[in-house]
Amino acid sequence: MQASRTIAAAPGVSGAMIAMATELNLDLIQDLGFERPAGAGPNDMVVAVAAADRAALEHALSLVATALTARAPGRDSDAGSGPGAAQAPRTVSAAARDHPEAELALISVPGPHAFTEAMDALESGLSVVLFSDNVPVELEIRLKDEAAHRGLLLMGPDCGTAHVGGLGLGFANAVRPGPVGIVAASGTGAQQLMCLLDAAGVGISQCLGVGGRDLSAAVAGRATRQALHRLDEDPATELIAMISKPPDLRVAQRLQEEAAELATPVTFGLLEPGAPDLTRFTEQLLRRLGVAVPAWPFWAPGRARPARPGLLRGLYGGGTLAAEAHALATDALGPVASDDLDATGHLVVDFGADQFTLGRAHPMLDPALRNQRLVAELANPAVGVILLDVVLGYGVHPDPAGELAALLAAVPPDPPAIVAALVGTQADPQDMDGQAKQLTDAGVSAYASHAHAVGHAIQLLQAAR
Amino acid sequence: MTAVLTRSAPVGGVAVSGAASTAIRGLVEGPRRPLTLLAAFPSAVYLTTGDSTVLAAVAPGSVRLPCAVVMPSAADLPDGEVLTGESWVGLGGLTLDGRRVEITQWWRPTPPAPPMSVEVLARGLDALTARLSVQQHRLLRAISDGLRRLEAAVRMREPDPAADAASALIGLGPGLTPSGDDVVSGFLVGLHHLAVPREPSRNGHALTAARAHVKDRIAGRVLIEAPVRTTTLSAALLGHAARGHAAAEVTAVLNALSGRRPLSPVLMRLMAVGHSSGYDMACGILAAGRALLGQREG
Repeated sequence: MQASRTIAAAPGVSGAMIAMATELNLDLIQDLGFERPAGAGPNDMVVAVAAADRAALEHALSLVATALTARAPGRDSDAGSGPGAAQAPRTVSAAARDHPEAELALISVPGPHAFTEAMDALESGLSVVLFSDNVPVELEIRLKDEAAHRGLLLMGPDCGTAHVGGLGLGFANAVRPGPVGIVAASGTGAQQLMCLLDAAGVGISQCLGVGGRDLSAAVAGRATRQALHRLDEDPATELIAMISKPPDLRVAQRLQEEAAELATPVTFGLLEPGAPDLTRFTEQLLRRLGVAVPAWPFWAPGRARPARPGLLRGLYGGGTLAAEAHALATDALGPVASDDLDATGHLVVDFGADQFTLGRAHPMLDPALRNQRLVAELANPAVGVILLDVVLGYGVHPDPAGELAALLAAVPPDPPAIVAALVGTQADPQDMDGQAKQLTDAGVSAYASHAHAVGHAIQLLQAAR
Repeated sequence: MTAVLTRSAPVGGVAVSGAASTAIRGLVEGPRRPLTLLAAFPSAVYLTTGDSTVLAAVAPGSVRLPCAVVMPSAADLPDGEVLTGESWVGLGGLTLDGRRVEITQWWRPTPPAPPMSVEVLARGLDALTARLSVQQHRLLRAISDGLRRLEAAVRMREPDPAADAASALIGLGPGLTPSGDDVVSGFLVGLHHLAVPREPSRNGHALTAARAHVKDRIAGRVLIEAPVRTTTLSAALLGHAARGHAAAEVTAVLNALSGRRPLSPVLMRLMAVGHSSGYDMACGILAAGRALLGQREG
């Protein structure tokens, strides 16, 4: 259209039209007094120019060539560098000004700086995925109140995974689209839920993380409330699943009452004592959707290690999985210590907890701390079974099973049995079956269901006793 | 556990991952079909399977058409204007000039249709009218006349005149997607998604049914005529609009008309689509909204 205008205004040109040679456009050109070009179809472009003389015509045609080969400004990949190029924005609000279409900011800076950046984003009208941890709870409350006041959503802090508008953010598995909307005060819990749903052929509409503390008495479900309303308004969401690490019971009860008022049904999976584990919760959801519950995949090692009596040691990167292991193991084995590296009995450690990630990357990215402990536990004659989580997807270690297999290649004689939960989907970039094979070749029993992995570990210990 | 068997080995190195619209899910996950190049731009490449099916491979940040696959970066689009390597779609992804893109993320090209009251929609349309009036674009005379006829026929709930009016716009005007097509696309998507509640009268049901009938008649005519009357790309996009699928830029404006988000920024984004396509689609949306409310052009 711009080309047509430029040419029509050129000297010596009395009429011009540049358009695709559709039937109606050819009629228009004919009406303007031009001949109908023979053999032109809708996918051809016709350039019609009426000029006073040959020189004017040639000039006009050269303008056409220039206009048609000119590149749109600002789209070239090479336009953003070199002297004189626009400077990249230095703050979230500056970036928001440059991109008025943006709706969401993902913030991943060390905890002490997270509040400032998140507030800057909220004040610029952006919802926030706050990946940072080590954010004080008073500041979390201030951010969530500000977000609610502005009709925005603050996901986090310590929001490890989210799927918004078809995009995975943070640690994200490649899951199929579908009817289940997830609100998660739990990162790896959400990943386990999504991966099991995916294995059953069920997809998700969105997954909104709200931060592990959202259902605490202090934060009182501030972000959960916003997230539930968002999913209720999303027509792609037919069923909402809300999962949380052990919540404050009064907060949970109030949210359940509020959720009953929504148009979309909400199912709560709160990992409190006596409640179903994540696998059983997923099975409840599937039944509610009328989908058959599949046999959850597991991969048995070629050479199974004989069970030996001893302690359970759970070494985790995912906090919710660690909490689930702790709950299931306590029920079956009695007292289990949690996150206490000096404990002498059964122990479950979440290496993603705030005290272990100060000044270093999350163990799902950098498993050095866990690896160190794993080597120590392998050589510890008091240990009967080691439990691990291996989480696949985008944003995590590119080959977590390979890394573990390398450590296990040098095991001492008569090592403890090793059981792993393999949380991932067939579409994840690490190749799930390949990862499972590396684990089983290294003598590890792998389970898609974390609860089944814990169950197997407990069975081994009980059988050996 | 069998999904992995349906995926092909990466061609020419490691496969990268892309995101695609669920409107082309059948194409992406179906059997292998060769692709030929329809048009190439710095941030988008249009490909066809030979029939009227079109697939757009686009750079992140460019227009998310309902037939688009978003590539990881602009560098993953073919450099030249000719495809030298093998190019095909299917088996869960896209091979473009020898490079494999596995689709790992999906989005829906159907906008959420928030229920809105007559008052809210009327306010939204007023705001849209005001903002369109200050744009430097104008519709060609033949197109604005045609759109007025289309709007009037829908307001009067007359299926045949409405389909005739839409038909008279297909393939009309400048652009790779002719201006008339963009107007009809905007109009169809508007009819699909501007959810005005049923007329509060005793024969409200009948009126709602009549409205749906008019929409279906226009959509039916567009689906039949577009493949022979306009460019392959434009026919494909009209086909999507007839089914209610739209680019994210269009969806955002429909959403803003419900008063849930500010109109200005999303309209600005729509205006940036093509040379005049965004403006043309916005005119179509406005006309559809007015026709649904029974308003006349003010």
